[in-house]
Amino acid sequence: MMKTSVNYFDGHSALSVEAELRLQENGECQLLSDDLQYDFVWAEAKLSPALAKTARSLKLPNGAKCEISDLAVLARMEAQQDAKQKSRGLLYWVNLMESRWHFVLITAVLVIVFAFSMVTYGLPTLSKGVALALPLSIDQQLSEGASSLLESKLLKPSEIPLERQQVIATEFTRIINQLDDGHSFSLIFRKGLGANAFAFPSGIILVTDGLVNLAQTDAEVVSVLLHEMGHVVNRHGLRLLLQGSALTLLITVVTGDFSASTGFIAALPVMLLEQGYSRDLEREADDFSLNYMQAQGLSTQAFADILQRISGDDQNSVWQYASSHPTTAERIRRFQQTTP
Amino acid sequence: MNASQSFQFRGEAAEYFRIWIVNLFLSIVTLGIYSAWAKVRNKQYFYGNTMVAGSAFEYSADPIMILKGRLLVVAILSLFSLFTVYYPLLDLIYYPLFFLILPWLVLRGLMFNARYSSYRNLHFAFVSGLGRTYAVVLGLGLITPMLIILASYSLLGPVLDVGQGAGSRSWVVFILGATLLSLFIWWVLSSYYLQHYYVNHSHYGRLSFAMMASLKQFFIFFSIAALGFSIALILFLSFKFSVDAGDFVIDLELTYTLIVVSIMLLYLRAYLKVRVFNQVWGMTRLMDAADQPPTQLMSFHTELKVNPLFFVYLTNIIASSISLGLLIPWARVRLARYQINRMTLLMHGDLDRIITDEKMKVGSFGGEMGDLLDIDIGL
Repeated sequence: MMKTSVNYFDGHSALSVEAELRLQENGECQLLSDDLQYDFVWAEAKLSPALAKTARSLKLPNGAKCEISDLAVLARMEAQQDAKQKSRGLLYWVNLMESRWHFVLITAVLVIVFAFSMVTYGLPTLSKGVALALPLSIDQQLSEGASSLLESKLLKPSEIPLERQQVIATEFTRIINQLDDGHSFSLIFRKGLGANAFAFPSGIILVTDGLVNLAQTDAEVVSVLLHEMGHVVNRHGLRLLLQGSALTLLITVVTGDFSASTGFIAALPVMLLEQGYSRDLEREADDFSLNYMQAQGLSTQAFADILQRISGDDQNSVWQYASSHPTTAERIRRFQQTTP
Repeated sequence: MNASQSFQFRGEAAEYFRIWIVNLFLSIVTLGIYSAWAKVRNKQYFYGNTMVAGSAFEYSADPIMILKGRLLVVAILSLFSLFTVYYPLLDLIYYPLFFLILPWLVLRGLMFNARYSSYRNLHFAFVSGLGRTYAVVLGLGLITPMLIILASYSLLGPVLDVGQGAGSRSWVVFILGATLLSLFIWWVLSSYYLQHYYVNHSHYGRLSFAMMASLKQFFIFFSIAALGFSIALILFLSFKFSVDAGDFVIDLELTYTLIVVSIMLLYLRAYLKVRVFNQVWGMTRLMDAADQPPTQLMSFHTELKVNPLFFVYLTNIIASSISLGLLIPWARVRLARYQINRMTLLMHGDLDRIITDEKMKVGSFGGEMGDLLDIDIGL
């Protein structure tokens, strides 16, 4: 016979009664206190699963409950009775895992490996697959912000001479005819925002006067346009969106904490990861530009040159690491290597 | 019996870490199926380690029910998002429909959670009519702010289109001021009445919770918070946004400004949490409705303080981010410990007067949906 002291709650009032629980080997149980005696069978009572050092409760057939704090004795009672049924519930094994440090260490390592491979490899691959399977009409929806940027005060009508615009536009049209990609590409010149070029998912590509003026040849401008078209063709807008939301979802599910992802400071790691994603996409857009120029037998040096000029002396800034583009030196090197 | 019993949280970070990481691991390995068990275990850890008057709280929801709820939610959400990709117009039905069922989900979630929470073998319960839930959650919580913004927009729209005369400028300022003031009043009222809704429909056994918090105090706290928010906003807006030549590069100065503003916001969050928590729970009574007039059986004393809570928030966020999430268990345990250890239960009558009332079984679907969408009012 095994026995332990328990707190008895009858289920009708919040009064706590000190009692003694006695368990016979055949499973017969008895609950005893000054003015209480209750007999039952162990198998008909329901024991809450073991969890760390928290007290466990034994729900009796009559709706009353015993709170048991002596976990060691209880574990022995449970082992003795469960041996007869030959079954240990799922949560028994879970508790075993939780209470052994070596199990915990193994699971921790596996979780970290999973999270790392998911973030660096799983999510980008997954979102690429999904994005390419979705219809092009979504890219149109994603570009709704384009018009508001074009009309904003940050941008003014271009002051580049029409003849030069025409030369670049002709080359642009030649490329899109060759591409036959399904996106409806268009080229827009605007003044403002420094030396810059943007691509909207729908195929609108915006070049600033700053960039055109910075370029010494039209080939340089075209190489930048190709890079931007690489973003469009490879559906980068949609992929970034999918990756970003999948990442947030993953973090939310894993941490189970919804507010953590809303906090500014907690959002920093997410931001850094997303910067990493967009660095990868920049590399992919560079690839597109590089491949096209090589296929056409053009010199890739043009892109290296304009990158060099855009980056100026900003190159050594520590904050390049957090920037959305890969380090300029690295990008330039890729285009220089292939120069004949 | 007149006694005060302090609440005590007994959880430990190292212990909870093991439960947390095994939960994560098993959830991943089982492709999310175990997450229902994980949720129950997680909650059981915090309930089971919260003690008052020698007994712990108990959470006894059935993981299978939670799993069913989760599967249903995932099925519905993925079906809808798939549809909206191909038929964007469905958004027009999707969002209103979502708003319409939200109050029902909130109610079910609260009922489910209360039903499976117990102390000393007596259950908690959440009892409220659907009508009241819709009035508070949908009417006050969602529709009122939309109406305010819509009204302000329709008043401002024509003025901004025509252009700016001297007369229209003062009109614009007036409308903007009125909008901000209305939104502020809405903010205070909705916060107050959501707390009121949550507390006043909660029951423990035969006892009913009654919130006596003062609306005036809420106005004072929220005014101070609004002042703080305005200062943070001005600081943020006064920052000179520079546009980099290459792309939008993260600027060192911008980063500093963002950090300062975030810390200010975090401090305000701690401030509001402490003031509202102390006001709500310090002014909540547990009444025995069987007596005429109802007698007060229990009340609470809480002494959360702003600076310590802010310190816990700040260090928790920093530690969780730097450790890439591995210190989340530590963060949760110390937050729970800070909050729970500063609460005291004051008893004004005998415990055996607290007796059971009704027993209701509630499905978990609402509970899960609420969980996934972070509907969390009250504590």
